[in-house]
Amino acid sequence: MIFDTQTGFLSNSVLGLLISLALWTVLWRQRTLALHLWCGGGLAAAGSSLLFALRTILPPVLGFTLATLLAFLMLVLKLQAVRLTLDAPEPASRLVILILAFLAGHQLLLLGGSESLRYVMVSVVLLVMNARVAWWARRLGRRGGQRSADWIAAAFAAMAIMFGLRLLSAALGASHPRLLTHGYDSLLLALTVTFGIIVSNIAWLGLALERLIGAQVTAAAAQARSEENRLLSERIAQLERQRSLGLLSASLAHELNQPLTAILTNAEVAQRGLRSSGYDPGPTLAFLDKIVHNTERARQIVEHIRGFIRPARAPREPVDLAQVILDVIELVAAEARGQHIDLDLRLPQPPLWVTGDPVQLSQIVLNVLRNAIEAVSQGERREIEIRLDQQDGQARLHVQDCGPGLSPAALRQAGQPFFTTKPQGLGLGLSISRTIAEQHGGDLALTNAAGGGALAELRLPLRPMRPN
Amino acid sequence: MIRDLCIRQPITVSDRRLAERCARGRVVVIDDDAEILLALCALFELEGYACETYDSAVAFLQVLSENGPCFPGPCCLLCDVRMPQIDGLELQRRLKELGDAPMLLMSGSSGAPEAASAFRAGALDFLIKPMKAETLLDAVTKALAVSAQRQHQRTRRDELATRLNALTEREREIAQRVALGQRNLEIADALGIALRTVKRHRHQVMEKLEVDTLVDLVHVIDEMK
Repeated sequence: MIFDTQTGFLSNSVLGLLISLALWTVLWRQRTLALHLWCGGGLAAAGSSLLFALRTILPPVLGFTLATLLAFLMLVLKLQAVRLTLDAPEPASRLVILILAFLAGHQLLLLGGSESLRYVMVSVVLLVMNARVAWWARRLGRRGGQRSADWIAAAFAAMAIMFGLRLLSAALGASHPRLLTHGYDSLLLALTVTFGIIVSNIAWLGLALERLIGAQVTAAAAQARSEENRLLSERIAQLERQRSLGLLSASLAHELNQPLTAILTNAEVAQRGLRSSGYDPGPTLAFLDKIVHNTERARQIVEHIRGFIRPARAPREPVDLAQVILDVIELVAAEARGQHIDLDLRLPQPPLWVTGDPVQLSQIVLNVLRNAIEAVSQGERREIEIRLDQQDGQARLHVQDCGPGLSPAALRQAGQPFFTTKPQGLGLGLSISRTIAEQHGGDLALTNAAGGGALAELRLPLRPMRPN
Repeated sequence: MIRDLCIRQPITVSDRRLAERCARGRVVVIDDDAEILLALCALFELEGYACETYDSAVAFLQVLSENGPCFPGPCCLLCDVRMPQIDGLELQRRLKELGDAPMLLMSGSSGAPEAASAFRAGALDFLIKPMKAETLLDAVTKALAVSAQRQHQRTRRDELATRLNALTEREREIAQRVALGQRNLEIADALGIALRTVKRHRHQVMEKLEVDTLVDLVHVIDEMK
């Protein structure tokens, strides 16, 4: 006697039970069906091994039928676990039929057939099932790049080979065609099963860890990408702000030149007055007052420009929308005046408070107003209607021009990045404005007005309470 | 534009002061910025000019159409280019049909096309804001000189026209022939009248046109052509 198979089965049963329970505990937080099937399969194997070991003292129903069924069930469960991981599970009905067919075949041979025929049938079935598990595990390893799956494949392939060798030795007459032997074949069986249990379970743990790390890496990459996108869109929005201000620069220069002209002239009048008639503080003081006043005017214009091009803050402060509109109108007033455009502005009496970043919101208003100015600048009637009101808990800004309106194609595409109808346009203004509106929980719609001309409508949720 | 304005007579002391300033020069400033108007007005008054300010071209055209009386003296316009409704260039076009006060344009942010079209329409100067008082006053002095010269020429032409109107048909014919260099005898032959009659008409012409010599007569007739 080289080795007692029963000892091997008994020790493997204990090993399988322990390892399966340990794996189940370690990976309990995943709670996936594949894990349950895999560990369930492990328990079935342990049960089957125990029953095989005690075959001699158990009734045949347990020692033969149930033990073999559990061994087959173990392979079915493990195979299904691997296929589930690959997202290609076998239909449940086919599994049930397979199990029933195996049971029926086994029972038939047990009752009527010879023992060696039954041994061959069970061995062939287990060989095929082990080979299938190995093949699917190999597919998993190849497709997902998960190296641990290859170890599962190796473990099950070893078992398939072991069954093949046993069949071969039985066929050659080197050993008895039965399960419980005492020769080299029983040692081979025990060692292979031990190897299979250890390697395949550790490999499964490895698979789980690989997946966990993979998910973390993917999440980190996604977070990095979204952070990068956010920074990039902030930069683009800021560039667009600077660009739109650049386009207004001619009229802003004129605007800034007005107070500078008044300052220079007043200063020179005071100078000349002092030189010609000696020191007379009365009129000189009046001119100095005017210089101070006009310097303040110039400072305010510069402040407006600076306020508009500074980087955006986090959009979380109460903003008076009417004030935002007034500030933007300060910026475009000179441009509108230069083109003889009438800005017909009507703002509500109580201020409408929204939550957001005033700079980003003013970017939307500036963009909409500049589009309107451009639309009417070539026409006969040069009017732009600007209305702010409250509707269904939302602030609604409505900018309507009496220009030519938008063509159906332009209407469909307006707001898509890089779509523009202007020769020198970038096609970013509207798409950026729309993004900002959405970030503020609102939306920006562009349509043609009933009376002709384009109509831009900005809706923003009102701030629930008026801040102190 | 000055041509049709009636002359205003000074009555009060402040009238007289204004009249004195007007005699030196009257600057009409048009700009939509009240602060600039105040500053420029202070500068021109400090320099002893009369200054009128309008906050839009429309307001100025309105006053102009009322055709009120004003004190005599040279006059020029200083106008901003960028203004609502009627801008500086448009005002320049409209005034061209109305009168001949020299025009100075100023602008805060002008491109070459604006300045070119202003000069083409006869602007005397184009100032870029903010401008130094010296530059501005130089331009105004030049513009007032041009205005004074134009006014002087116009007064003289008006005077000569009145004198020419006093001539009879025959006298005017003889005056023109004299100016062409024809001698009395030739004129008498051409018109089929006596030499003595020609001489008498010629004497009348010299008297009515207030000229003493033949050279002066020729000058006056040439000037009026």
